[in-house]
Amino acid sequence: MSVAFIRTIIIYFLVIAALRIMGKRQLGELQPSELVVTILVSNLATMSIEDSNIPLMGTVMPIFVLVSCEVLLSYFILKSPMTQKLIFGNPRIVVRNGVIDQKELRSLRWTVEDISEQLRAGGVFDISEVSMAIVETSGNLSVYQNYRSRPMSIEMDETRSGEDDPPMVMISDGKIVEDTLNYCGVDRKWLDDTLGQKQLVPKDVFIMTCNKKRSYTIMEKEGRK
Amino acid sequence: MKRVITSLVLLPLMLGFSLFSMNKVNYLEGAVLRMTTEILEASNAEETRRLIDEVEGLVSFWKKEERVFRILVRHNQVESIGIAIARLPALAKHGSKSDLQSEVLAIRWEISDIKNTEAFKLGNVF
Repeated sequence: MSVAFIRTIIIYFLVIAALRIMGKRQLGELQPSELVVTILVSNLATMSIEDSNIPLMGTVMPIFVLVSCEVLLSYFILKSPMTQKLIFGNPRIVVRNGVIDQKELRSLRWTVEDISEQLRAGGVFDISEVSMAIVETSGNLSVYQNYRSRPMSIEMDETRSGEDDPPMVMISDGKIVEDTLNYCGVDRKWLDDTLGQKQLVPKDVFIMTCNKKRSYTIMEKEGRK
Repeated sequence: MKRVITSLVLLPLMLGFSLFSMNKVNYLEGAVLRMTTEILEASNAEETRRLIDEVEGLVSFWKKEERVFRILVRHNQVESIGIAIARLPALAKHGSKSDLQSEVLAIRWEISDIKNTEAFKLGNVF
């Protein structure tokens, strides 16, 4: 029993250390790979506590290997959008201007009840109020309501009326998102001219968002010279 | 970046430990097989004094190496070999040749089985 007691304490601190190494992302919404690692780590920890015949290193080593692989994978995902798409997939637009994209819904294996439930959870009871609804890679539904349906705010004025289409990311960490250029109805020349007005080039930009009315927001990278 | 560096340090450490584990199991298996071969030869030649010396050699070797072996391998497997080795001195002094040899063969099989399980082979991976 004393062996089980000591092992449990060791495993407890080991799992905490593992979660700390993986970082805060583990404590929020889980991506598929993060969910897999979390489940595996907990199962490995349980095995060692339940069966004292298993050497402790037989638990410590797989946990640290899993954690290291997860951290390195998330680093590669940060550096490579292609890897991110491969591992996490893409967010999928399931509602546009109040109309459900049934083909997308089928490919996600969602029913009408699933999407209705998610909309209601977001406070939307009428699908015609939805300008755009996106199923994120974590499985959550993000909803952007029509301008008329949104709660009033001080910023809403005549100059911003009618913005039913959400802004999309045009530059992400220095890389241009071509799909957003098409979405906003602009070309590379417009982008270069816009950035040029602020003496910027795409690689200087941490994030740039733009909507169909060409209303944009730019955040430069820190420490840019 | 700190986490990435921690992971880059942890992975080779774990790899190093698994290589150490494989090496240690190989070494122990080789040593036990050698000693048990000597025991079988002494038993077949009915050289009682040599047989007792070889058995005592194996017992003291196992006592020395058992603690490290426990860290690397399932404890019940280590205990099983330990129990068989513990029987050998009495069998060498007072038991029958066939009982002694069957215990020795069981030890050889178990240690080889542990080594085969730890070896990096496709069969073990799958």
